[in-house]
Amino acid sequence: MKNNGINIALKSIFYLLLVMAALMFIYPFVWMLSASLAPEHELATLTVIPSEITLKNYQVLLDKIPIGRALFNSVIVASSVTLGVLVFGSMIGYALSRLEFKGRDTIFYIILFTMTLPFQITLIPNYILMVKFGWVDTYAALIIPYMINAFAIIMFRQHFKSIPQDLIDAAKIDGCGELRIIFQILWPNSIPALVTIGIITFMASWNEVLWPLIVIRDEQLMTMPQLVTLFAVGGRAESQLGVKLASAVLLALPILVAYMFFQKYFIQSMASSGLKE
Amino acid sequence: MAEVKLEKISKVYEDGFKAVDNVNLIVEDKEFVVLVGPSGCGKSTTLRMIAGLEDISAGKLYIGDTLVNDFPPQQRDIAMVFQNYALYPHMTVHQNMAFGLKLRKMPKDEINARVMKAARIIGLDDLMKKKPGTLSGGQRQRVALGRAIVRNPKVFLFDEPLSNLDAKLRVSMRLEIAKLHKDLEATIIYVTHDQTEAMTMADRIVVMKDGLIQQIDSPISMYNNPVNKFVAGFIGSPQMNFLDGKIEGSDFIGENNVLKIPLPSEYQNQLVDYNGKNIIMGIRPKDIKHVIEGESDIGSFVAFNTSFKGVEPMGNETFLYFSMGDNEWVARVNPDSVVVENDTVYLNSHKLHFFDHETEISL
Repeated sequence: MKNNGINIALKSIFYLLLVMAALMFIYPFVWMLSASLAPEHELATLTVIPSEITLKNYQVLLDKIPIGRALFNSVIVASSVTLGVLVFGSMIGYALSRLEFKGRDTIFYIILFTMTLPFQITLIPNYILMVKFGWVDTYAALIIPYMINAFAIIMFRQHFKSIPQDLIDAAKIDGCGELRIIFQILWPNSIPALVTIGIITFMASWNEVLWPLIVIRDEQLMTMPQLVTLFAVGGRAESQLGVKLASAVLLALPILVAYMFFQKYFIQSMASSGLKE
Repeated sequence: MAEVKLEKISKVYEDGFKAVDNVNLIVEDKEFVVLVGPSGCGKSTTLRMIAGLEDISAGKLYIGDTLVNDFPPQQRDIAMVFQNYALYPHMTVHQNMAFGLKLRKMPKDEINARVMKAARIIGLDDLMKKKPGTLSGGQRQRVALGRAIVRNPKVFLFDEPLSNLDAKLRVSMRLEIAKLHKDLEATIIYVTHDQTEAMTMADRIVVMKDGLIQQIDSPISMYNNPVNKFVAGFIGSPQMNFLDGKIEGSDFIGENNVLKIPLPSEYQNQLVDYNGKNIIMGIRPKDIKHVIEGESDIGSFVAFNTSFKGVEPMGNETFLYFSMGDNEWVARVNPDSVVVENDTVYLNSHKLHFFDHETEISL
């Protein structure tokens, strides 16, 4: 009996600590949401429950910056990038895993090598390229350079290697060309890989700030993170914390919604990307 | 259906490895030919070259009268059944079977008619809406067969289709494929490493080793007259027993004098050039008896005392294992035999095979 009592006490302390940790983690998010809905003068109290709920911060935000347009831009850019990465990544991954040609492995190692280069190294050459192409201040600058990436190629290569060669041979004998094999035979059997790579790509593209800052100046073409960052740190929020928080909520919202739909795959994708990197 | 002709076909990989070496073979129209051999002998590579899944390094391949070396698989009018079934997991049985026809832009009505007909032939009627993942191994292989049948191809290719099935299912599928061959009057090229499949199904067997064809013959003829020691050992189960030795006068003397067999006259004439030379003798397990009472030619048996290392009663027969010189031998005897540890076996001296010691070619 005595032991039992100690056990319960220890367990209670343990759970209390866990709950505190969870609260510490979730509090900023909850506060961000509630503060964005609270009147400006209540923000200093750091209270979670505001005395009244107001959408004034959001109204100010909508008046000041074209956030709707930025949301639209972000959706267009992230979706196009994701589609490009899935289509081209699977094509290249297939070639590297299944086609026989000279230099195949060399190409693979070069692609692998590019993963070790930090983005900042290629930033300036890429920018110069965009200027030469006349793509500055267009969607093309945001989308096209991101449509192929090494990570997706390697993930697809590894995944396709795990699919039995017999399946591909059977498709060839049935009359499939290589493209049909990729999109009609391999894709339907690679849904988890597609979703995983899709989510990782979409999130990376959605959260990208540096590159849009460099190639986009037209406010009408800015993506949400870029616009929100410029707004929050660029002085246009006029030190109104509530409005800044409202912009942060809007920035996080689409990813939160996506998370609710793809929860299972999100966790999977985080786990697998953790393993690969 | 059509004839398939391989003229001096070779496959050399980039690293110089020769998987298939100068293969010549004509598979007649409506013939069932089985390529058999140990793993790595080139049989699957040969089949994959016929299918168009592997480039041909040298030689000519004809299907019908057409040279198809440079044709992709879909233009060769062949169908293939794989060891792992290779069904499309995301399609139903019906869709699996219809897929190839759809790609050939066949009208929907005809596709349906063909699929349903094939389904009836192989007894899949009830499973058409299921996905492969929910089927048993046997059912999956049936679907793979069905997918081949609907195409009504010139040639059927089978790549070890029964290897993944359990023993009982293998026997029933063997019969089914043989029946299918008869009913469809199909030209079939079948690859296996299992000599039982080869013996039971083939019109002709092609034995391969190290990329080379060793022998092409009908099963019985190959069993009785193997061209070399490899074929003799490969065809027949349990495999043929071998013993190195010498011809001395009219006798075969096993190495270290383990065995002396007075040779019947037919062998004496045949082996006259080998007097005093090394030679390999072979005898099938069925030609070693434990009891010879009642045999018609008792005089032709040579007795040999041995101690058995193992006795395996199979019910309808019994295998006796014993040492002969450095070799492990097996005898396949009547199941009613009462076997004691030290006992006598009898070798039928009219049923011997002899092979050159150097070339291992049958004499």
